[in-house]
Amino acid sequence: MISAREKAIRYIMIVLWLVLAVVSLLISGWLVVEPGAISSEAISAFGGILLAGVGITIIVFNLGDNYQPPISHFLISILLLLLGGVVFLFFPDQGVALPNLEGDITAKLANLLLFLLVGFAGIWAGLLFFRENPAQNRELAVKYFTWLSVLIPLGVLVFFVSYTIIEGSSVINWQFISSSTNLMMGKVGIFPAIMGTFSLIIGATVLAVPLGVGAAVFLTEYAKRTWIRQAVGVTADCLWSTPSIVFGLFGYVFLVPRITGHSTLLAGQIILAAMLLPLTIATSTEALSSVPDEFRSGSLALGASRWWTIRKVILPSSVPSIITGILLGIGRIAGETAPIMLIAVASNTSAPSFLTSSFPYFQLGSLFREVDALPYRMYSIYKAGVGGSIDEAWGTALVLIVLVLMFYGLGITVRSYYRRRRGW
Amino acid sequence: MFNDQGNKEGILDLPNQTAVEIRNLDVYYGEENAIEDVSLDILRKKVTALIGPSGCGKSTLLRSINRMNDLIDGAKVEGIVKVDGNNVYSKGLQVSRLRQKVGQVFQKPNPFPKSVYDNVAFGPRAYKHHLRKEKGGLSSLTSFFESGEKSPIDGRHMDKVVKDSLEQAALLDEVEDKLHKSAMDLSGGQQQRLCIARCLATKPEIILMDEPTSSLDPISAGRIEDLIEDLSTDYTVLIVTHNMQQAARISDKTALLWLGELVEMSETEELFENPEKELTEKYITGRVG
Repeated sequence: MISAREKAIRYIMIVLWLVLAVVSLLISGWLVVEPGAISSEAISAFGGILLAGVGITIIVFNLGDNYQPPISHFLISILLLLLGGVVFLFFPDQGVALPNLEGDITAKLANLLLFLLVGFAGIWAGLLFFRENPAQNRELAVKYFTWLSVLIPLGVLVFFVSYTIIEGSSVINWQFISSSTNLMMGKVGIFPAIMGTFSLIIGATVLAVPLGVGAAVFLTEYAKRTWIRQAVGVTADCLWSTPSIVFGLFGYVFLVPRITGHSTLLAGQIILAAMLLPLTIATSTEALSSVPDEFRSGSLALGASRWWTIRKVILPSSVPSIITGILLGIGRIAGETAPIMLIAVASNTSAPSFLTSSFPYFQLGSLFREVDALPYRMYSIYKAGVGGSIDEAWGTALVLIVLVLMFYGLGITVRSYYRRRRGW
Repeated sequence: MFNDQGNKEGILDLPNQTAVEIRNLDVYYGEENAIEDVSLDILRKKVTALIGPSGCGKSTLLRSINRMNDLIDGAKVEGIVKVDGNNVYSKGLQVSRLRQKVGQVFQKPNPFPKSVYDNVAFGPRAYKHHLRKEKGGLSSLTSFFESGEKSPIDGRHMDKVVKDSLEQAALLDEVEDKLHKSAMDLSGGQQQRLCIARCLATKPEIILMDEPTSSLDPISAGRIEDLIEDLSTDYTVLIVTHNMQQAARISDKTALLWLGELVEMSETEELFENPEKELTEKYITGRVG
């Protein structure tokens, strides 16, 4: 039942809505008669009030304890939430800005508040909706919520990537990708940065993965249920959450003086490997301990040694999950700028090269030289402010994303190969 | 000793009829005494069934023969377990050789996530690898114990080993055209027979079976029982079972364990028809347990 007070509030709300409806009719009529009579700011302010009104109404209408709101309230709130999000993201200066508030509350902040208000209304309605209703409605609500939690991150992702593609593709051409920057000749190229990031990722992975997987094998197969396992787990988590600039500082103080005294590719690889290591340990440990014990006992009972069991049964079955972990880590280190700024990168370096035309056809000299890297290049192009620099920063960002996606693609291919073989 | 002659017909009835000799065995899990002073003999090329209520130590006893108890944290074994006259808990023993000679089939079928072929070839390959790592390499196919016996497994004929093992496990007809498909796609019963084939591929002499049919449907279970009977002409089989009818059907000898102690062990028929101890009679007629 609804109390008298609640009833009164509802009547007031209905009256307010009627007034709003009449006002909006009048405004649209006025605009038809005399276009431009009302400033666009006033219109957007009115739209904002309308939007906020819906949110407040939904909350008020659902105040009653035993009241069962219809699903339409919930759906409308979700819709408004999305609409608010779109306005917030795409029209930062439109929406609810009240002109006389400019300076105190900016339009952007007001939009954010509106966004949160409508979101709150939606969640409120949703909660009430399935607090009272029978199981069938709850199922429906859960379905919409889960949909939403897929749609929102997916939408953000698609937005980021497509925006980068749109902004970046205009500067991407063969010259941009294949040559180095020469400001004297006014051309910007990121080939050294591509090769630098590539070398950093490969080097870090080569250093970190054997160590990480090895540690995981020790922890799961040899140090079962001991304090060492927990200690390493906690340490790995702490390392993983250590800010990357701290890694950079350590590299600068302890690594750089011991290698050449100046920034080198090798120092960058080592520090990025140290950053990648904790995640590799954590995910590999998880992967190895999810291999059923029946496989272990089955193998050992056939007379296989522990090492043979690990090599032939346990590692192959856990490769997919291990690769997933490594991919996550690569995604992180590929974009790291802070640590390598201190220990590995410099502008206007040539691309690292490990191949030579004469015997023995490879050389390691590049390991001990400075490199360029895509995230750093992005930062310095933007900072330098030459030419259409922001476009080139977008182009660099696009190349970085494509590079990371290439590693992902490779990893996913290997993973699905092992997954098909695994089939349990 | 595990020498080739020992496997051949004709020498069977010579004095060395005991495949496994257990004397005063105690197994502890931490403080808990899971097996208490058990002594029994398991006869060569016979099926011996271990029965008893849950938690009476049947599986523990089984695992102490191929030292799979080593894998359990806090497990401690005292007493003597002799396989072909050699104490399996002596220091110089190579556990992997022991486990090759004493195969085990588990309660739940546990094929590896590999192809059918690779599953069966797993044991022989591990064995070959093991030999290669030893002093002298493959040329010194030394024995399981120190007797200088040659390996019965010849890696050069892996195809034959695989096919023979599958044939012996009565599975070859069903999987011949999917040898290189994943073993995980087989049915539960087929998987269990694959596990038996995998075990046979290492040329064991003794096969330990830990309730091998309890996770299978009656028809698959029946096929496994038939298979066990066939296997008993060439192998010594020790089977743990909850199912007394199964014990009665397939075993030559039966032992009843109760709270970690051996109550009675005799010819299966005798144990079921004319038990010596009162507890045995109560258990097999379902009045206790």
